[in-house]
Amino acid sequence: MATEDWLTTTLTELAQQNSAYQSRALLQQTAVYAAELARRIEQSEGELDGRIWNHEQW
Amino acid sequence: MQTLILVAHPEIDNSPTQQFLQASLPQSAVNDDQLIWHDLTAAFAKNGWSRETELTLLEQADRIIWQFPLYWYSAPAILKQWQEAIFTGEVSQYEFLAGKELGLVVSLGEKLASYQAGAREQFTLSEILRPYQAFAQKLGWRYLAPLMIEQFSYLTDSAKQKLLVDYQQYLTLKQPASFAQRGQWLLAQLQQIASVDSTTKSTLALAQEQLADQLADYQDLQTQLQEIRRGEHD
Repeated sequence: MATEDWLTTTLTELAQQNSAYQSRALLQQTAVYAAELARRIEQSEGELDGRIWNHEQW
Repeated sequence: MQTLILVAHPEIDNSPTQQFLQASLPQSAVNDDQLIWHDLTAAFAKNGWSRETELTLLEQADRIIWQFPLYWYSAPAILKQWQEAIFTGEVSQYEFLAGKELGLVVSLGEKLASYQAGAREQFTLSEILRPYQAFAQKLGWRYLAPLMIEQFSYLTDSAKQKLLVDYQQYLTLKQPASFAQRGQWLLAQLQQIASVDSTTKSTLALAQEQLADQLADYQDLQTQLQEIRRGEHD
């Protein structure tokens, strides 16, 4: 499992196991955040590659 | 940072929205007096307005929140009563309060999408809430983008969880907050979560470590991208 998937899945599981409402909400929303973070990292890496290999800038 | 939440609602005890918001306050911040919940209806019923007490509360706070349901395109009357009772006379009397932040937490019976030209309500919430922005402007307070709660009773469980975190961030996080700042805030909050057993505790610690690493990676990537974009020519 990729690290990002592990993080989202683990946070979701921790949320489900927690009985305190505030903690559960926080863990669940951190899982949502982690998924978005992974997506943004992937997009930024793609953009970085694209810009580095942009021959028009050579 | 201290945030003062002025709640303007005629019946807080009968309002599921206000009850939810009150239960959403992070207890550690309440205990440290970083968050103060101030029910205007209850305060007035107890002793009437004490201008001195209210001004002291305002002076001590860095961020002031007006929290209310939207009744006829405005806050319930108690907020206006409070405003007129506390802010009497010349604006120059209130210079000692300049530099505060004013945030609004507004609950709506209608959908957010109804507040736009051509939709059911025709007017945007920025237009409807303009008097509050004008007040902030007059007093030299920084007006924050309001936090809107639409149709609370129809929210799903996950939408309520999102609201809880959005609300806590609105009260305690620098505004406006970037994506990375919201991540750092979440990371800091995870420290407060109590674990029942050692396995959960170590899994949580590992998750925090991973999140911190990924946030660092993301911020590095953003810095590199900014540098490359700056160096590019047309």
